[in-house]
Amino acid sequence: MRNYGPIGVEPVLQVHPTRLCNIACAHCYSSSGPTMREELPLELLATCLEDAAELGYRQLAVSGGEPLLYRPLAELLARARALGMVTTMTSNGMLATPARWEPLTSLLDVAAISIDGTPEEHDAIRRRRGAFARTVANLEVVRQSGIPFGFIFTLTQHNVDSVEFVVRLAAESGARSVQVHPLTLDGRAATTLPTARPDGIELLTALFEASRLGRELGVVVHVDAVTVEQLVEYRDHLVPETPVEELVDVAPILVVDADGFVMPLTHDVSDALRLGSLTETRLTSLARDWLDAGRGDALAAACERTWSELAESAPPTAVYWYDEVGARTKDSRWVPAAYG
Amino acid sequence: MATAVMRGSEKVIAAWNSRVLSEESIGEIAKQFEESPATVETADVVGGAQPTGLRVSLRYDGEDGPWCGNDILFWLKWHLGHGGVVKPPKIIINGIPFPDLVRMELDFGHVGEHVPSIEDISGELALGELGA
Repeated sequence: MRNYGPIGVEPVLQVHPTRLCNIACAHCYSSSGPTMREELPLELLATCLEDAAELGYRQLAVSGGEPLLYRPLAELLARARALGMVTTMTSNGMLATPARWEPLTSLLDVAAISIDGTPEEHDAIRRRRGAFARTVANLEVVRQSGIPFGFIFTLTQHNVDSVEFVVRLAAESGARSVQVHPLTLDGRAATTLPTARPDGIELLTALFEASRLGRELGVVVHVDAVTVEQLVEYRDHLVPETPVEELVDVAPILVVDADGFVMPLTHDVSDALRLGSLTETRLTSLARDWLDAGRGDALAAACERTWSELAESAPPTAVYWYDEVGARTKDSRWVPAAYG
Repeated sequence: MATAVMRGSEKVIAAWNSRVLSEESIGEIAKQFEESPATVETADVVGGAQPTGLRVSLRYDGEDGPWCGNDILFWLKWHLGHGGVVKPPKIIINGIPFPDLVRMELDFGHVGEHVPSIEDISGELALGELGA
């Protein structure tokens, strides 16, 4: 059975083409910002897209940095479309002017705009006064373009009470969905928000709020978390079968960072499980070598271990699966640091 | 600042428990009890200009008794949508094995302990008589 993970959608290639961003958010897992110049050339990414499509990835998810600052963005999306991939993009929305947005209209299937709570909360975590007002002002540009859009909200230990504000804003502004994404302590977040990673109680509350608000306001609210009960019931979606034969079977999400490194599932996965860099060789070669070295099986073993530990956790609350797997890949009992 | 260190879930629960009743939420209660065969004996609003709760005392006579289950179901669903502190309803049944009178008290939203309770109601179902 093909494992599409807890997201239950076609395998996703998540690309961070640039670390350049107009703001430097406190919770940024890629430490992007206005002074970061790291970015990947279009042709390297175009080759990566071709390989990814061959390997079974069906969706391109562009993030950053701020994707609207990646000059060849439209061309990148067009290449993905030509390969039959669904295209999505996450943006802070502050730069979504008609001049930047209109060229994407026919190339983008879904846009996610980051909204992190009330205006005060949003501006605080974005570390830019007026950020909320600017993003909300640009929502009309996004809405007029006809590209289906939703909001993405970063859940911390302290802000699940703001989910309602964001879902109500979504309902008022024509957004179709709200994705609640738990904070991970990667990049800048590890130093600026070291105690803000949401625990199981906050995730469970988010799931409850998602259910309540979705029903009440007619907006799809998705939380990137599963209850322990769901975890037990859907083991087959979470723990890949071994031996792992194809990359998509163990890595339904494949991340390409702005430095060219490729990693399975999440930024937080151990360096020992990274596939390598696209600046050295193309994705199909990286994938083959990675599987031949047994790293797919090592990742599957980390998933199995994660599942076993969480299924017995008490009290049973909720978990962000990929973050939990990522943490366990750093445990040398399951993934040797000097692997391969 | 205290809220900066509070869990989000603690803030959700605090807001949930002290949610002010809206016109819409009160309208739902009124509609339910218009359709119910129950007699509304008392309805006490708590919180003054910013009402947080409503205590309703209901009476079901004879064959209307089983309907109280429908009203309890509505009461549970109402809290799912509108919040409040869910406290078990007080139910007094007169007549064994076949009830000929049921009295029930339901709290909607957040009702403190300072409003009249079914136990204060005098009459044939006052606690003294039930105990007799």
